[in-house]
Amino acid sequence: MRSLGHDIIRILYIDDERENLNAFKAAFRREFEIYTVQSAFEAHRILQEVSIHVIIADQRMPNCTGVEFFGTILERFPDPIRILITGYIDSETLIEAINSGRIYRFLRKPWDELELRNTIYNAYNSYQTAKQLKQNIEELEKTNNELSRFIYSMSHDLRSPLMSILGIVKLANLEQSVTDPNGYLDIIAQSVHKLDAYILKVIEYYQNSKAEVVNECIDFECFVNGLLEEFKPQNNGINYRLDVEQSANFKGDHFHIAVIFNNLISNAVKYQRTEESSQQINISIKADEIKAVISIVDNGIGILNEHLDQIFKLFFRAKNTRRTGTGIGLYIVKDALNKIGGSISVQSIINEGTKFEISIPNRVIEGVKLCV
Amino acid sequence: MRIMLVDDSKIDLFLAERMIKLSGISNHIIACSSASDSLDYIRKNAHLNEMLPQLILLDIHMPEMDGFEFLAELIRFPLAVSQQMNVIMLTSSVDIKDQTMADANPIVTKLIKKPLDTDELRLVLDSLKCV
Repeated sequence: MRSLGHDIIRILYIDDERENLNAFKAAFRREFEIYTVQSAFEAHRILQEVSIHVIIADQRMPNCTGVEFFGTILERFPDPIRILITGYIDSETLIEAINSGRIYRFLRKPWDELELRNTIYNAYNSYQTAKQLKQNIEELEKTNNELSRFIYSMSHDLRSPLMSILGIVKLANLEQSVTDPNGYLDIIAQSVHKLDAYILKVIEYYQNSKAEVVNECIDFECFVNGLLEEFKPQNNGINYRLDVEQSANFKGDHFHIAVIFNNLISNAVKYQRTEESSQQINISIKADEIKAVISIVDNGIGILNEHLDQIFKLFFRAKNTRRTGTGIGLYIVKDALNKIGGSISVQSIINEGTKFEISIPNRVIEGVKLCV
Repeated sequence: MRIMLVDDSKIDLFLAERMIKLSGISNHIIACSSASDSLDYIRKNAHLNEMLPQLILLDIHMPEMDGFEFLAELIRFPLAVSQQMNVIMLTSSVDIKDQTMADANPIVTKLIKKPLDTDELRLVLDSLKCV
């Protein structure tokens, strides 16, 4: 079937026999833009100058076969659709044609005009589809990239004046130069910190989605203790317990695993119950040569049952608390786990606490270098 | 100690100057609102040791010439000039790339985050004296 509204189809026909070329031209010259050549050399010249949609080649030519010819142009001119015309075909040629020449169709010689015409139109449609698909992918990648770059640079640009505000508040406190009996400066600082926390999460989201997975050795005891050091000063009332059983060398991606721990621990810190006298965060890690199973348990406010399957969605915020989050943290956790092939599950009882259980595969088997 | 501040934000320049003076770390501040202003100053005073800063607090993201481009220019001065200056980067950036580049740069002592914390600055300066 002829498709409507297309450009004129440009065809390159290569055959060492002039009569074949002439016959083809005579049959189709009113319908298509036709270039006929007798050698691979001429064919290359045409391909450089004209954007060809469909190439038809005769298999039997004295200097190189049609399949060989297709093989030579594939890398430089991958887009035109390739049709091979051949009087006979053995399985050897067939295999080669498919594997190295990427032939779209075979046509028997002498060709039937109707069949050839249909084949040309189909080939052209296929050319257009491939081209459209390529364009769409390019555009998608471009907009995706621009979008993340936009988010990233915007976050940074927002941060800089925010830090100036924080600096000014600090200076005002230091100089005692502002009469502030009601503590408004502190409220400003609190709001700025809150806004900054949000911006930092957005940046973290971007970094997490862009970061490539690099597998390095991990000593969980040392790794998690290092992360916990950052949290301890924030809230002295919380008792941390870390239990590590690491029976094998472990390899994993430091960046993503740190992102996972940091988000889950910071949630455990944030959603404690203020009335609880012994606030507790227990982390236990069991790592062997296959995987690491990590559980992070708190005795905080808990998560409503009906929220459990939604907490990993972007911008989801629970309603049983006044402490509003960004709705990004657990999404980043899930995203990071996807990147390193891990999984997560959660159990929670309201007003008793929450338990996250994570499984991360050990990449030590795939690594060539051994951990020392 | 002579401290040079390089930052395109007028507010941040003012802040850093005020904080450093208040903390008693230094009273001799050279404030530059662009990397090229700073380079001009160093060029002009290259032979006057007592005019050159001993410490540069350098912002990263600036129009025209950013902090790292500035460092590339600074390194081209004669050793007598560039070696007596310590550079601390002062930025609100949390870009991992900025951190990595700062760590890798031989002239940079440390990258510290805005807003400037003079206690933190003092710690870095103390560590410099030990070296």
